[in-house]
Amino acid sequence: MGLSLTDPNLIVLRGTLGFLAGVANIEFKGVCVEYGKYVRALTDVSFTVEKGEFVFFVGRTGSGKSTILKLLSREVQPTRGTVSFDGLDVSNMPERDVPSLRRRMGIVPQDFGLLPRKKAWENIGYAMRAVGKRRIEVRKAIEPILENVNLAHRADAFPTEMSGGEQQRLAIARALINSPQLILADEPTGNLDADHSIEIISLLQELNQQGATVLVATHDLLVLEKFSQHRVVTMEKGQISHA
Amino acid sequence: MLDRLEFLVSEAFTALRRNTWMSFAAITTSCMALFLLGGMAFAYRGIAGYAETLPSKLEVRVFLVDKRTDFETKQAMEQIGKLKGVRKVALVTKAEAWAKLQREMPDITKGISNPLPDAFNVSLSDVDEANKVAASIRKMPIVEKEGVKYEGETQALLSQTLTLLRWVGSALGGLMLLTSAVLIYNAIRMTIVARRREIRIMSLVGATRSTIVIPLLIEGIIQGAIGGLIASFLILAGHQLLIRLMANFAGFIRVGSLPLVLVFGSLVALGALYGLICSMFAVRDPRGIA
Ligand SMILES: Nc1ncnc2c1ncn2[C@@H]1O[C@H](COP(=O)(O)OP(=O)(O)O)[C@@H](O)[C@H]1O
Ligand SMILES: [Mg+2]
Repeated sequence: MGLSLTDPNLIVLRGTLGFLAGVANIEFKGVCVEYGKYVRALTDVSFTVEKGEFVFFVGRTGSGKSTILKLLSREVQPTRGTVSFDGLDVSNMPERDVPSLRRRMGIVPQDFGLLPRKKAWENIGYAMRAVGKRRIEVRKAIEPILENVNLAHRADAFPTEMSGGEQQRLAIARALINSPQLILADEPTGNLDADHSIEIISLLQELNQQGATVLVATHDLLVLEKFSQHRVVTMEKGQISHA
Repeated sequence: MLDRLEFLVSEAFTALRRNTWMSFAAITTSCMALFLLGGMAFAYRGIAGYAETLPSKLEVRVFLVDKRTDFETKQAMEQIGKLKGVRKVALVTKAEAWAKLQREMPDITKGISNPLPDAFNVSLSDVDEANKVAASIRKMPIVEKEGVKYEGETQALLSQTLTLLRWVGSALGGLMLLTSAVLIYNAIRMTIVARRREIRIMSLVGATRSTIVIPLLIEGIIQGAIGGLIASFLILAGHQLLIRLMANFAGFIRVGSLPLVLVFGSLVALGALYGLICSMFAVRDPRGIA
């Protein structure tokens, strides 16, 4: 019997096994996302990711990679289907629970989302203050966080004075303030040259080795070649074409 | 707790600084609105207080000639008491009337001997009978010529002034209030747009809705409160001006003193409340906030 890797039965089987093993961390079940009436971003997407996995979501622009990450951070809600993370039904949880959900993940947005008027360390400090960390805690935590991404020497630089790679590392550093179990990085090498791309993925890989589950959306083939040991989920027109 | 408050307040002040012109417009209009409404309220309060010292609408003052007997006085009182529409007649001797005037206006009555005649205070039960009652009383021999006074010119003028003040003040003040509502609302919406980066980041790292929204509310409160504070100073200045002007007409019109604490307290509090309400509407609108 020809069982392809995209066979829905196989995906369900993997999900079930993962659940039985108690390690399924992320689960998408029959997820559809429509933006407005006519744009279908995802059609019947199902997959699971286990705790501590490193997964690339690959596909052309518009294939639905960002939407998958945004479903997990509850920036987008599915039209149909469910998304769960660590046993929580992310897609249906009340709005007031979303902040605490997001504190369990580190989100690295595609555009970095850095504040241009704040120095590197202030960008981190501001985010920490926003989640209720006290001044003293912030002062203590900033140095190790910046060191973690090799930016300690750039603490006083403004984002505009930093290279693309440094800005990306700063954005990753900010994602680390809540010591997340899950890191969502959207096109983290999108604006970088080959060397810096490899450096960034290596950094994410280190964080993965420290225990975080890492999901990376990318269309950077060079990166995929270089880090071929990780799982790759291929997207095409809003569906998973290869898991 | 204090630490968190500091963050929220400093966020609000950053927004105010970044948004200078919009804040300026919001503060100016809320100031104008509160000045008009507050100024009207306090002017109204002053005039109404003055009006209360005057005989009421339902009262007829009857001045009596000096040459008369007690019997005539008693007889006249009885006659008046029987007239239709009269509720009560009381004799106010010139000594009593003078004592009361001296109490109410010490600076004007000082050093003069009592010029007042004896009088009846006639209370009416029906204003519509006032003309008939007055006509009947006027015919009595012990009543002075032109000695029947009721619903005097001052009274009429005052009540007209009060009505006008109420209408003009409410209309203008209401208009300004509406304008400032739009401007405060807009100022907050502009802040949301101007700070969308910060708001997005806060929301992405898991800041609670209150952390995102409270600085915006504080911003509205500050705008309204500053408007109220400036309005209080304007009312204070207006009051001083009025005193200067009235000093030239050293007459019966005295400009009452201003209850300072009440003026500042009520206008600042009202402004703050107003700013809070406007900004609550601005953040309720879901478009701007992730
Ligand atoms: N906010 C949005 N409104 C409307 N359409 C959107 C929105 N975000 C994404 N889309 C559409 O959904 C599809 C998937 O988008 P996305 O998940 O961003 O893909 P990718 O990240 O792979 O480029 C695309 O066709 C895109 O145009
Ligand atoms: Mg994308």
